[in-house]
Amino acid sequence: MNPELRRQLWLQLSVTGLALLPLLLATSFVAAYLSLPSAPAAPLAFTGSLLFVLLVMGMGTLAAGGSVMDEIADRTWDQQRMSAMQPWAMTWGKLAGASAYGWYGGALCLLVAVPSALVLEPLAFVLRVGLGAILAGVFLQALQIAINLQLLKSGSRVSRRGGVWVLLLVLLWGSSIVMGTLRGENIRWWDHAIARLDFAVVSLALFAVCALVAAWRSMAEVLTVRQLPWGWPALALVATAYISGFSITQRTTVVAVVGVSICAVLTYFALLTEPQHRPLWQRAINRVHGGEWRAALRQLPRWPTTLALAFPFAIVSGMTLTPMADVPWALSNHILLQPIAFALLVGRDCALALFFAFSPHPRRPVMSFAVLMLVVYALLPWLLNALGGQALASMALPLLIHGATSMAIAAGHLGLALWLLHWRWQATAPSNTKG
Amino acid sequence: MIQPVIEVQDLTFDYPGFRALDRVSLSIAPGSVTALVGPNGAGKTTLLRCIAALDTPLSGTVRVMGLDVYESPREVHRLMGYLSDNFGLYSDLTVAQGLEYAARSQGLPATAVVQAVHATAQRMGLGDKLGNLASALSRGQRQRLAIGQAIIHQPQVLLLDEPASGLDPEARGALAHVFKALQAQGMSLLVSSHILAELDEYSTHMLALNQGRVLEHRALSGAMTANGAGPVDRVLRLEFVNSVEDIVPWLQTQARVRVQHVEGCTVDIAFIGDRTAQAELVSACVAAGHTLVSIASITENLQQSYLKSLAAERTTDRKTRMQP
Repeated sequence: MNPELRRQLWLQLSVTGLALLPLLLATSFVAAYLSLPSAPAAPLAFTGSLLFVLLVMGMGTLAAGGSVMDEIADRTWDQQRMSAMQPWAMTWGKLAGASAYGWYGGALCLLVAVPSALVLEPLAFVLRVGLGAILAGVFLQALQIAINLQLLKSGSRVSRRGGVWVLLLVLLWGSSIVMGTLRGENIRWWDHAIARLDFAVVSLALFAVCALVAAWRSMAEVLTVRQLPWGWPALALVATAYISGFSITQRTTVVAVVGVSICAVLTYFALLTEPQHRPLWQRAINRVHGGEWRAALRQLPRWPTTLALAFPFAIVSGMTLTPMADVPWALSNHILLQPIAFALLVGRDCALALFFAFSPHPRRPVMSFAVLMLVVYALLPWLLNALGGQALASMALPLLIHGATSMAIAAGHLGLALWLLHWRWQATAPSNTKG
Repeated sequence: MIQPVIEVQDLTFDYPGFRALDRVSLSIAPGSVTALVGPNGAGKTTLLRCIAALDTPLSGTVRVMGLDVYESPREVHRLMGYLSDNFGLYSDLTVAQGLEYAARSQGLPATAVVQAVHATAQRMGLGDKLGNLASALSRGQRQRLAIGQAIIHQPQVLLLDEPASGLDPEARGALAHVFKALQAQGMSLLVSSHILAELDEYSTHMLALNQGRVLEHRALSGAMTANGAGPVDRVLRLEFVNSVEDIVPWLQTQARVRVQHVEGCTVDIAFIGDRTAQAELVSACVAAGHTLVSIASITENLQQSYLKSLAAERTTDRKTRMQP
């Protein structure tokens, strides 16, 4: 048996706990039954589903996240990192073991909820919904582990609580989509008509696989098992393909625009949640100087991969986009029309983030970066617009204008940011005087 | 040539704003116990963490038993045990469960786990505590459990960062016994500690770091390696009838001798060789017409060695700074 799974089971499954949970659940089901004894199927199915969500998606997810963060709190993380377990074994051991008690309760809930639901709905529907719920549980738990590992890497103080908040947002967003897709007409996705419930189940399976891969790759990074950086751009491609599948017309354009948007979001997310300090980059540069390209790639943070991927998408967008007069929000229209300038500005922002991160005394570099972004994207254009009109404002935010000028100004921004970054790099060469 | 168990080449490690290790190169011999010493911030913990593949250096390589630790960290961990200075234990697991988890997570076959748990518990003096929760153990017992978890898979190399920190003298003594026993089995230990007297008891080598650089790495006087190769280095005090001014040049021509200190009629020399070689030196000295009164082995403790290295480096630093 997986050693981590075994350890988690020692911690999670006590005789008292195993005996107590069925009693508590039985009490809840009796109460549900008594609420409508003449037709108990509906209240029992509802109670079973609700308790399943609470136990698997609530308690199980918290426990899965805790399986990483508790190691830090208990100062046992080094021992885990020193083990000979491979990243995947560690990942699934934590995932399955930490949430085992939640799944135990969830299974008991399904034992009541499924037969009750069968009174109201056909077998195929109930089985699909049940499968979807299980996949949603796996997805959320794996995602929580991936988020916590990412926060752990960044050294964030947000830690577990922060991860839970992110997860709650995903849960709210996801559940509204899933509930909305259970019934109704078929969904057209990449020219295929798919039943809504089937689509929801397949989508959840895809999300669960993505979350598992994310958790595994993040675990590999914290266990210092370096890998080539294909995971992050692969996620961008999968997300692009998934979202673009809903488009009906202008398929190439939609893929390109969605692609550049997804790449930008993932670039910013990685940029702000990964450590970006100078030694990390110096390591990669040293490997390049030594001709060790594979080793250099394995040292890279994630965001350069999606930033690089944003440019082909941006170029295709620029070549295929036509003015979309029916888009009411002017800024959106301009962004869509200026994808290359947009990608250049994302590159500029990355350079500026590194400028703050490479500071000899970095204090909250992410906060400094966020304030700067507020200035360059909102305050400065607004101020310049008030002083000299849109032409002046577009010097600060080139997305406000069209064509080659926009790209030239954005390229100028990128050049200036790279110059600043180069200056900071030169100025912060380390000394060996003890700090 | 004996293959070193740890080989570090040009290891450089930066924290944001300062260099913690600066082109550190060293090799650790099999069966040795190396005392890793240095002032606070010298880079001791960083070096141990780099060797354990817990931190990635800026440049340089680390090999353990010939394996690159950054290419194959999980494989290296099977050969290595590590106890950090800030270790924790699974408080809700019993001693047996903690040891079993360590054994299984280090890849010990299932058939060997029970035996390993009992043998390790016995060795660490926890044989009667197997059913106790880790949270119920005393500080010394917790320390021994942590070391037990680090050695349960019989690693070739054991890295220990301040293992005796916070222990009472009795517990420290027990720990020293354990380390000697591990060395006797052929395990190589690299032990960082501020308490040099404690390291003195079982160390065969001293590795002194200062400001991220290797200050000195050498065998200690009278140290015995686990493979029984005999004394590798010791300091002898030679006393002559008259002033030794004429004798020192002769001593300096002897292959196994390095003159360390001259005062009046005595000379302290570092001597490399066994008892026969020492007898040959005495014969040669008498044959050369030098009137030798006595010869005695001086035991230099770790503290003296370390302070001497540190003082020598500071003198060199001062001279360098004073040069125009």
